[in-house]
Amino acid sequence: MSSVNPQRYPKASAQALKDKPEVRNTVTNSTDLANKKRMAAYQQVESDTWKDWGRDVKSHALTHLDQYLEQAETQLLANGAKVHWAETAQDAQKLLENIVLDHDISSVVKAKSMLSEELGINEHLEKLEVLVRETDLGEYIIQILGDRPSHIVGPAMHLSLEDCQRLFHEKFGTPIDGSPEILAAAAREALREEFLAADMGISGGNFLVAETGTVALIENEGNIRLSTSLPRVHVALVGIEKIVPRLEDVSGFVQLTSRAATGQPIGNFFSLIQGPKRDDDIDGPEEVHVILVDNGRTRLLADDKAWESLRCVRCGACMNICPVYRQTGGHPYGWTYPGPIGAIIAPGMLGLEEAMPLPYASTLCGACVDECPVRIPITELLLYWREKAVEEGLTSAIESAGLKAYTKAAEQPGIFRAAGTMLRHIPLGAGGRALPILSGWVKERSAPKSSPKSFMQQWKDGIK
Amino acid sequence: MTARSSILDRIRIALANREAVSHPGSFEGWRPFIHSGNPTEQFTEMFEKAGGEVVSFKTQAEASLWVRGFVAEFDKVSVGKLAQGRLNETVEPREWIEATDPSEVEVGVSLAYGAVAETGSLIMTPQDGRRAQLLPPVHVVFVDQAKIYETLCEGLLALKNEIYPGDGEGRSLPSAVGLHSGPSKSADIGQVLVKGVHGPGRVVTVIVESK
Amino acid sequence: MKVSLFATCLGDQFYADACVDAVRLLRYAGVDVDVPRSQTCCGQPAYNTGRRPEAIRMAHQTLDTFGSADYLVLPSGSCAGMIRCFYPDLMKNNLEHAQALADRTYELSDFLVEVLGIQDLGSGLTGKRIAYHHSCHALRELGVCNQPISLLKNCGAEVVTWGADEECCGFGGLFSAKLPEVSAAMADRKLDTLPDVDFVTSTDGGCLLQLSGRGNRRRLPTQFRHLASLLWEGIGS
Repeated sequence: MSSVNPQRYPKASAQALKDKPEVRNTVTNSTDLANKKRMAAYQQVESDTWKDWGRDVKSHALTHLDQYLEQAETQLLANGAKVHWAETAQDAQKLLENIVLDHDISSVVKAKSMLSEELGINEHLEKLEVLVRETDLGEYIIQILGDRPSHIVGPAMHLSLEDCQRLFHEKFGTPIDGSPEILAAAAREALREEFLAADMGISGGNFLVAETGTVALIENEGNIRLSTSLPRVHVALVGIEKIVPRLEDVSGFVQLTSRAATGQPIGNFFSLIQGPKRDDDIDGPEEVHVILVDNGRTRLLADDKAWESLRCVRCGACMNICPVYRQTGGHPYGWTYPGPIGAIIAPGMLGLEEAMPLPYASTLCGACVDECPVRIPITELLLYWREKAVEEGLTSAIESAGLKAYTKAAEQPGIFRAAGTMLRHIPLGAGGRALPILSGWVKERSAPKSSPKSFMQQWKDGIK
Repeated sequence: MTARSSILDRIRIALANREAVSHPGSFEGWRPFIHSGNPTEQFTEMFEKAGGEVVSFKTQAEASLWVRGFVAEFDKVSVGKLAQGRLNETVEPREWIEATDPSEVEVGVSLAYGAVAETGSLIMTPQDGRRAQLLPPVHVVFVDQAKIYETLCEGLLALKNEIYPGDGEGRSLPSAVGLHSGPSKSADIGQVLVKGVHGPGRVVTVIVESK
Repeated sequence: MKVSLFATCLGDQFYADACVDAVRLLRYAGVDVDVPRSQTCCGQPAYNTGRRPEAIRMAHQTLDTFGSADYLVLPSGSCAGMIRCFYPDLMKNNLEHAQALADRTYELSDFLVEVLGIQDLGSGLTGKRIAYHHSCHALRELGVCNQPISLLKNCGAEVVTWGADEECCGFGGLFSAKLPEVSAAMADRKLDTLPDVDFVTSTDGGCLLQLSGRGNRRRLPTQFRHLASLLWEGIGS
């Protein structure tokens, strides 16, 4: 990831709304559709029981994480795979670099992996002059554009059909009004050659099954199956929190996640990768490397409240339902993971100061809590990080002073009422620009009109 | 100190005072629909809903005859190693079942290990050949009716518990398993669904009712 | 029966008439209303911005004011939610009293329907088309969903379908002032999807300030009324 900059959220979100108003429409339509599908899919099942189960399996796995990681490693090694451990993004880049050099890799096909974004893998490979090709259609489009993903499931969700038609017309010479089928055919043809020629495939991992040493991957296109089957070397980047204890557990999680992400009973292709090809296999990679990545996850795990956010299965439901996210899409959040989940893991993984003001980029409406398939207490965690931000002095001093003064007044009803009376005599429209709180309000809204008489005054006068 | 020990240490420290959560166990209520009790029917319904096609035959011989007719419409065909045995029931000429590079054909024929009714999925294993399952734009897959499992859990456990011939080292699963639940699809271009990017855009399941 | 009314900091200054109508409604329903003068603010603005110590102080102030009430009723879902859902956690050193107050705290329409068992107020809203905005706190913290709608309907109103009715309006307390552009965009989403109605209403003054503020800036003709005022009108003659 080129630049991590959540601090830019206030300016970036305002700018996005001003400069690219069409993104708001595109994202709203896409997320509306995703929400309909997810809700319909969950209405077909006992959703409460599913989500309770998902929460408990993941919490169990996380509270036994070291044991399961060791088991996964043992199994992967028995399967013939190689296992590496990376503490930081730099470590992961270096490990990948060594594999690339050891195996004379000059071209890579990539399956979509948010972890690889987080770790800045593409930029690093390009520095090594390795040809890197994203194969997920959405990621491919993003890559050609030189853009960044805006959503963890649909990376090109902020782009409209017209945007794609323009892009493909320039790049492939497809007609400017080319149908999605025509554009997709162009992409398929271009990528087919790259699949066949690539030396290495890089993927992420949706789940890592400890019992069988399995990297499990969900997709709809087939590019993950192709990227992990055709090239002679496959590297899977897997966050340590992706652990799931048993094979039968993953049979549940693939369904839980697929319904939450896209409303499907299961993703169209579900890969369970144990290791390299065996003697009686016709094809498959000669080597499979699994890089287990920390990069701040143990820091989150150590937090007695925030560790629950590590249950995340990266379904994207929270950002699909989030009324704040849909106004701008993911880019203004300035990090790989936007929306509600981004706001609660960023403080743990990047550090709270770096992550500000993401925990405040929310009205605490709670819609996301209802949708999370593993019951992460998102609003509780947003409040938790806000309290920490105040404790660490990361919030506006003016605001703190203002609220302290407000609280003092609130403890003295006579003063509180006097202040209220004073307020009603300030023409809020004009004075609003002066008061720090109100200036924000009157930027976009008419100033509120005070009632001619306060309620307490009317009560005192007598109500008929 | 290696990265491995460093990470594991940090995990142990993080968990030192954390209350352990016990595994809730298997969840039986995964079945989303009231099952008709007929896995074949449910598989067919799910697979077709996802855009796939399903045909069914009483014997392997009939099924193979149909598939031969089907692939004859296409220019070139590749047949997976395990599927070759099935396709060869009783009928003679083998010249066109020779190994063809799956990247150059229009249709591929595979044999699935089994299928799953509740998700409408075919269980594909690598001995048959992964390229043949992924590269041709049209994919035809044999599956025995007796191997259509009601739930995904059952299907995966059956796969895990079957000892693979030639494996003397106790590894329970093949190198890679793919669950294919319909034709390849994407909605990344303007949220409109398109098929066949990048896996097969057309998948036909051929159910063999008895072996 | 005696209830204490908490007008809330916002209600006292900006929705005073709605609070007056709330008093009238409760009296009409046969209830004695008390308004303790030491009421100020439930503490939500401090709590939601992470200022727990300040929130605790205001919670104590509120508990002192209303601790002996038989019922505490508020014309605000968010403030009622604050008391019911978060006061026990904020006042662990006084848990029994805090929990007792929480258990007796109700948003106005919730109180009318669930405690007083009132379904029919009158027919004063006959012929009126109304869009009901679900305040997030009322909906998700208090489970107040059907109560306002059934009361409005029983007053003769047509409560029209509104696809975005459960989406957050973008107020979020200080959020509206700190991230004004996003907040306004959220209000626009609500306003742009509104069907043609006579009134937009809600249990919460904050939501109404947000929507009406944005509506007025955009010079939209939409009328906004607090639920308490509409229900009082609903009694009719």
